[in-house]
Order: sequence, then C-alpha cells, then structure tokens
Amino acid sequence: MVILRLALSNVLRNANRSLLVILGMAGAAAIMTGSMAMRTGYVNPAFIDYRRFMQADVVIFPRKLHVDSAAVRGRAGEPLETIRYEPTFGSDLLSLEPGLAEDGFLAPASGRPDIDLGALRQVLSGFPNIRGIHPLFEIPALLSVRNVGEPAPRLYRVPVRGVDVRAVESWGGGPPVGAGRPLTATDEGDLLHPPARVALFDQKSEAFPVPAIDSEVRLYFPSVRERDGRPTYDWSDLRAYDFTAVGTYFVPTGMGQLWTEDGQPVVDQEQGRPITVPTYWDVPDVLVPSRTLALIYGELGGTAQARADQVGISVDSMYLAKQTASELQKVLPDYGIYTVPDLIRLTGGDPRAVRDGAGRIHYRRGGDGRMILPADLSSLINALSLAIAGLLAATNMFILVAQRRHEIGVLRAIGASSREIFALILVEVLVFAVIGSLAGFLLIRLGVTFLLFFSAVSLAEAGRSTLLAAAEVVGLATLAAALFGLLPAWEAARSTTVEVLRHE
Amino acid sequence: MSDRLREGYRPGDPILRTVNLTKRFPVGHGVTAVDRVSLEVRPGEFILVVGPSGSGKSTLLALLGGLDRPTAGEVILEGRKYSRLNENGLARLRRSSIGFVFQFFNLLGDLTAAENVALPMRLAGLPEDEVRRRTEDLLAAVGLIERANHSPYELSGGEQQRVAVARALANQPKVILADEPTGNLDRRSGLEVIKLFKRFNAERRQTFVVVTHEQSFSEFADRVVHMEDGRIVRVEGGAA
Repeated sequence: MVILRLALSNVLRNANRSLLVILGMAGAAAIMTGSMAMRTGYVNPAFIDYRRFMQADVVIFPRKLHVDSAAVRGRAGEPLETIRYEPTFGSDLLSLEPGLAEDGFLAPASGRPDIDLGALRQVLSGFPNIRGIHPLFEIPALLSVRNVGEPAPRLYRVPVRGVDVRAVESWGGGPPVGAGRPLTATDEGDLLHPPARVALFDQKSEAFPVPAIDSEVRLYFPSVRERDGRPTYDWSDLRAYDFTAVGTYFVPTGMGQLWTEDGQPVVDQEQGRPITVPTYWDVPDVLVPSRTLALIYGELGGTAQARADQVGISVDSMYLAKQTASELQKVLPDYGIYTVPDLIRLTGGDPRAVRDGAGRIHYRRGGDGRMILPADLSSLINALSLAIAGLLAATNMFILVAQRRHEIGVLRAIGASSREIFALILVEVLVFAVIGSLAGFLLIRLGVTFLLFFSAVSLAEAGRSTLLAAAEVVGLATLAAALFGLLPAWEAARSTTVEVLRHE
Repeated sequence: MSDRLREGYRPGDPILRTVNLTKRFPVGHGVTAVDRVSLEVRPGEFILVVGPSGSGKSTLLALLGGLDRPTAGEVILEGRKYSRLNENGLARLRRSSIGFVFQFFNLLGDLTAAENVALPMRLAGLPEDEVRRRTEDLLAAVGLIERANHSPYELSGGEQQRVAVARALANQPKVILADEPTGNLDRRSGLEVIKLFKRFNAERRQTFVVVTHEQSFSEFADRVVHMEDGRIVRVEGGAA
C-alpha cells in the first residue's frame, strides 16, 4: 500500500514527465482503438458503405449462407436451378435469346421468398434493442440490354432489389452513385402513371453491361405462384416492365492488390512494387424503389409485404448488433443471422481487382471470404503503437530512475527491499499505462462518436464505449508497459544503497 | 533473522563489532577509505566518531549500516555477520535494527512529516493504528507534533533533522547511526539534535554512533573515536 501511495505521489510530483508518458500511452491506445474499430466496426468505410447498401445492421436470411464463390456463379449461398424453355414456348424472349431453349439459364430455385414477415415480427418484438425492421425485397428478373453492334437485345439474369428511399437519409445515404443520380422519394409511384419507373444499376458488376444513363431498359419478372402455401417463381410466365436507368451505384471496399487473370500480382515495373487499386463489391443488383417493387410483386401474383427474401434490422451500435445477432440466432436457429461486418467477411471478403489481357480491370470476389488486409494491418499497427509507447515509457522511467537514485537510496536505507523498489517503479509504469490507455481509448471513442454524429452515419461500435474493447486496449497497453518497464525497475532495484551518502 | 546467523551472541556482548574492516575504492591506484578498523560498540553506548574530512568516517558509517560492502573484514550486529546477508537481508536488518540520520536529512519531499516518520513502520508492515500511535509519540518527543502535516519544505533545517531523527527511531532500532547530523544546521539547532540523541540514548538505552566534525559534542559521548587516513588513531573514554 505504501509503495502504491509513493508511486502515485511520484506520478503527480513529476507532472510534466508523467504527462509526456501518459500522452505517449494515450496516443498508442488511441491508434489501437481506432485500428480495432476499423477492423471490427463501421469505422471501416467499406462497412459503412455496405451497411448503406444493405440498409441494415443485422441481416436475417431464410437459411444459413454457405459460400463457395468459386463454384456458385449466382449470389452467395443462393440455391440455383437451370431453367430451360421448350422451343415451342410462345414467348418473344426466345426470339430475343434463342440460347434459352438450348442452354437455359440459372435462376433461383423454388421456395423463395420464404421469410414470413408476420411471424418474424412477432419474434423480433421481444428484442428491445431493435430500432427498426426493414424487409429486404428482391425479385429475380431478366434484364434485356441491346449491346452495341449486336442486332438484338441480350438477356441477363439480375436480382432486382427494393430500396426504401424514404429511409435512405437515416442511413447516411444509400450506396455511392457513380453516374446519374440516386433514387429519391419522388421516384416511388404506382405502376400505371408517371413518374416513370426508375432503377439504379451496379456500375462495377460484370454480370451485365451497364445501361446508359436515362436509357429505357426492360426487365422481365417471373410471375409468383403459390405452391404448398409458399410463393414460388414461375419462369414460364414472364411479365415485362420498362424502367429508366437514372444512375449507377458502386460499393467500395477500399484498396486491393491488382492481379492478372492467371492469379499473379501485377507489379509496377519502375518501382518494383505490387500495384494497388480501389476495389468494389461485386453486387450485380438493380435497385428500384421498394414500394414500386412491392407493387410489381403484387401484380406478379404475390402477397405484397407478407413475405421477404431477407430482413434487415437496425440497432444503435455495432456492439448491440453483435449481441442482437447472437441472441437472435438462439431463437431462430434455422435462419442465417449476420452483422454487416460478418456478412462482408462471409460473402464478399477479399474482393480482387483483376486486369485482363486488354488492360481492363474487373472486380471479382476472392476465394476465402476473409478481410485479410485490414486484420493484418490492424495487428501490425497495434504492435507498432504498443512498442513505441512501451519504449517511450521505458526511456522516461530510465531517466526517472537515474534522477531518483538518491531517493531510492533513502528508501533502501530505511529498509525498503529491492523487491519493493522494483514494485515502486513498476507500479508507476502501470499507473501511466492505465491512465494513458484509458485516456486514449476514451479520446478516440468520443472523437469518433462526435464525427459520426455529424456525418449521421451510425452510432456504431466506435461511438460506444464497450467494456470489452476498453479492457482489451487497456490490458494490452498495460501489458506492454509492464514488459518495457521491467528493465528500468530492475535497474532501480539493483542500485546500491550507498548512493544515498555519495550524493551529498 | 535465523539463529544460525546469530550464533555466539550473548546479552552483554558488543552489539556492533567490526573486525579488520577495510574498504578500498578503485580510484587511480586505489584509495583505502577504511583501513583494517576493529571496533566494538556496547549496547546503550553513545560513540562519537571524529576526524578530518576524508578520514573515512562516513565510509565507516556506511559499512556499519550495511549501506556498502567492505573490501575485507567483517561487520557483526548482535552476532549477525553482514557478509552472510544478501541485499534484501541487509535491507531487513536496517528496517528492524538500525536507524539512520543523515547530514542532509533525506526526507521524502512528497510526504508530510508524519508520513516520513511512518514510512519505515509501514515498510515493516506494522498495523496502521500502531503506526499512527508511534508516529504521534515520536513527533511529540522531538517537539514537532504541531507540524505533523507539514511538508519537509515547510520546515526549517533543524525541524527537518528532528523529523529525520523521529524516522530513524520509528522501528525502535537498537542502533542509530548518524552521519554529520549537525553539519547542515546552525550551532543551536545542532546542539538540540545532539541533546535529543542523548535523551533517547539515556531513556531508551539505544546505541548511538555519531560521525561529526564537531569535537565540542564530546561531552555527550561515552567514547570518542578519532580517525585519520581510514584508521582509528585514538579512542577517548574507553577501549576500542
């Protein structure tokens, strides 16, 4: 106790030096907190963009996702089946795309959409942390695009996703728009009267050619039939709807290495370093206002608003998102329930930029579905910041020990053992570490909360002080400081007692 | 302290003894600060060690207190040979059996007068109520009970040294070693400190070894040991 008291009074007495060491520890803790938040929370811009795109913190899928992006050519985890048309099928589609009869096309298997919204809402009502429930509608369709130089339009299979344009503002906007304009509330309308039906297209997708802005595009939707009490798609009965392409969107993922088509990194010949380029999620969706899509779904024969493909949930923080996802999974064991960061890691992580023989860059999903770079970078930043803070603390403690040799001699003269002197110095280092790391943690948390408040992105993980994150930062900083403090403490403990007389 | 280390010590034997105590410093061709000093200090004795600067008085005191290790010879306190003790053993010995008073007081500036006095007792792990009781008694004994909560910086030199004396007596050591305790005080304050030593020596039968330049304090001593060039050249008032 007396050692602790002495250590604390020494910390207060040497206010300037204490402040310097504490600032060093605070800086390290702040960097660590930020880096951890970037790894796990919405501070990562890619997470923020994906969250805007999904319009959810937690997404509920009707089944657990099984990702094998190398084998599945459609959306991750989506069961697909090949649809072929009989040559006698009397649709203008066959005249547009004769290959449909021979090769067929991949389309979602029967049984979708299959989340019963009424039943799910009842379950979710028992979760007080849930701030909003957003059914995510998606209807598979065939997009007819007339490519330059081709005599007839070609058909591409696309998922058409409903965007709640009225809720977009509360999500800090939708996905970034590359060309044209975003969807607005005035774009919502009935199906018979103007304004015209509008859509946004994934600018970076390789699944279909992006239509020109303001061009008219035609989408063929399968009609919806009840089968065993569930709605299924009937691809033999298609209905055409015309849309205006008002814009294109993209979902950035940060920077990634550029690869060749045969899997070799592209190297800058002059600098001898691998080339990095911005990367994007490959989400080959067509976005339309959700109310428009609900009306179409009704016209196709479905019961609008009764079922959904996915259900998004909004909560107040990333910490709550993790907690809520974990608790929901217990009561809905058959559903796939994922936070946005988990979803990214699972379904779209490590997107690659690939340069083809013609020099064009394509964006593809990687094979392992993990966010490799941020995690590695985060660990490196954490280790470096801890090492620097530890060295700063150790250097200061060495100076402090040298200056206090006399005082240490007095303590030894009145009977303090070397173990007590060792403890005295180490306790001081630990006091610096705990105060500094807590200050750094709180600083970055408050700072990010402040920024997020004004940017209206999210009161995400970084904005909330979670005990676990604080414990991790403070614990690691304290451990590093203790390790680096061992040497000066040992130096103090072994100083000879006679110094007390020699200094006079 | 184990009995093994104290074997051979009987009540009435010299409480503190040196045998051919020698300390050389490796400066230039080597300086012998203490040269084969053999000294016996009896329980309750008040000894002055006097001599010119550089005669080895302070080095002898450091060796007696286990603050420094001798080059040769032995120091024995109540039958305990210092050469058999490691640094922590010596620290425990100082904590329990030896009190130090220094020329420059060496109080810890962050602590109050009372806290400085209490520090050795807290290091020794005494119960807090016992620490408080003894601290009050000691500060009262040195006439500073009213200044208990003052910082050392708020005390005069004489007052600081009286606090240092109280601290030296805190764990009721059998031997008090004082290195020029009046060297930084005016004559009146110095005299007060020596009288204080003598009072504790008389009342509590504590042994004092006081290094000083001031030969006029001889009247308070049972023996006066004169040192020159690291050797004891004369002892007044008894046998060395």
